[in-house]
Amino acid sequence: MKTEQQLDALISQLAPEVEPQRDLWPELSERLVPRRQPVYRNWLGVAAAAVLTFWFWPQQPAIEPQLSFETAESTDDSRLLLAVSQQLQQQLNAEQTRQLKGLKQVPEGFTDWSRQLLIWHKAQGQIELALQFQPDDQKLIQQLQRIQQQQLSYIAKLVKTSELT
Amino acid sequence: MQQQVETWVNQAKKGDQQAFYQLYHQFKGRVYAICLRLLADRGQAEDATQEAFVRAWQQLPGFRGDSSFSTWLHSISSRTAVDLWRKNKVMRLVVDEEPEEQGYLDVPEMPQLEQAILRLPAQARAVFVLFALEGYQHNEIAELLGIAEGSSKAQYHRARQLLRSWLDEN
Repeated sequence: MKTEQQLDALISQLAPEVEPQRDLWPELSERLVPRRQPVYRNWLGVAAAAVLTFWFWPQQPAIEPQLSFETAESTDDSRLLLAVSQQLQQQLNAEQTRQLKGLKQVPEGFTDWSRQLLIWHKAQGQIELALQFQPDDQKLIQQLQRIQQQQLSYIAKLVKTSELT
Repeated sequence: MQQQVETWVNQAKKGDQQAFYQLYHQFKGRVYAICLRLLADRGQAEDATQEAFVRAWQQLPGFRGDSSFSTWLHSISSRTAVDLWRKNKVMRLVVDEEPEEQGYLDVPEMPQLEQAILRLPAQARAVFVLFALEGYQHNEIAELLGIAEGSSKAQYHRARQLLRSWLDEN
């Protein structure tokens, strides 16, 4: 039998590291949830988006929507993106009700405006459906925002052109 | 290297997964060693290693640097492996038998002592690894494993006896 000293000597010689026999990183990396930004940045982002959308847009419907993608893309927080998207949707609903219903003359080049909006509406529905399964997918949320902003831009151009003709 | 690790830690705290990969690459051998020696099963050790790094990623924003990252990760790894060890303990109670060579890895290139540690009964092995290799005290081990402090000391003594006799066979 080995003595206590011999055993202690063997213990002290044990390697501190043992390498795993396969690469554990691919499975491991899939489990790493992206880090959320500090809360104050969320509030700043929401505040900036709110100012841009509610101050500038309703008073100047012909101007392009002021919410820039950089604002949305600068944060990786899905909740912020969703909050901005909800604001955009409210704005979109309001503009459709307020401006399109009062449209007296459809200008040339916009005769299929209702069909155009219907296509966007369907696309938006698909993205919202996908978001039910992947609510934190930022690319989906950004895609949703793009479609909402495209609709807002389209309505703005339609109304402006109508006023000019 | 210490400075490089600190840089990676700071970057990973901000969400940089590439920096976290560097930390994984640097420390995976140390973490895996703890898990393998405690669990004596390659598959479980791999699972525990992954879980330890996932926990480290989750807890990293709260890491204030009071100790070194290595010590902090080491503590997470031990606790993660012990959690799995305790789950296995429930299974061992269910079968009412302690298979002494469960998960024994016959790896010729592995040092004899390493192989002998993996042959130890589960509780004696856990106590031995935590006390002799990881530097825990018996009162800490008792709390971690949910056993009495006296049992921890007795199991450690038993582990040493077994190791001495087995190593002498070879």
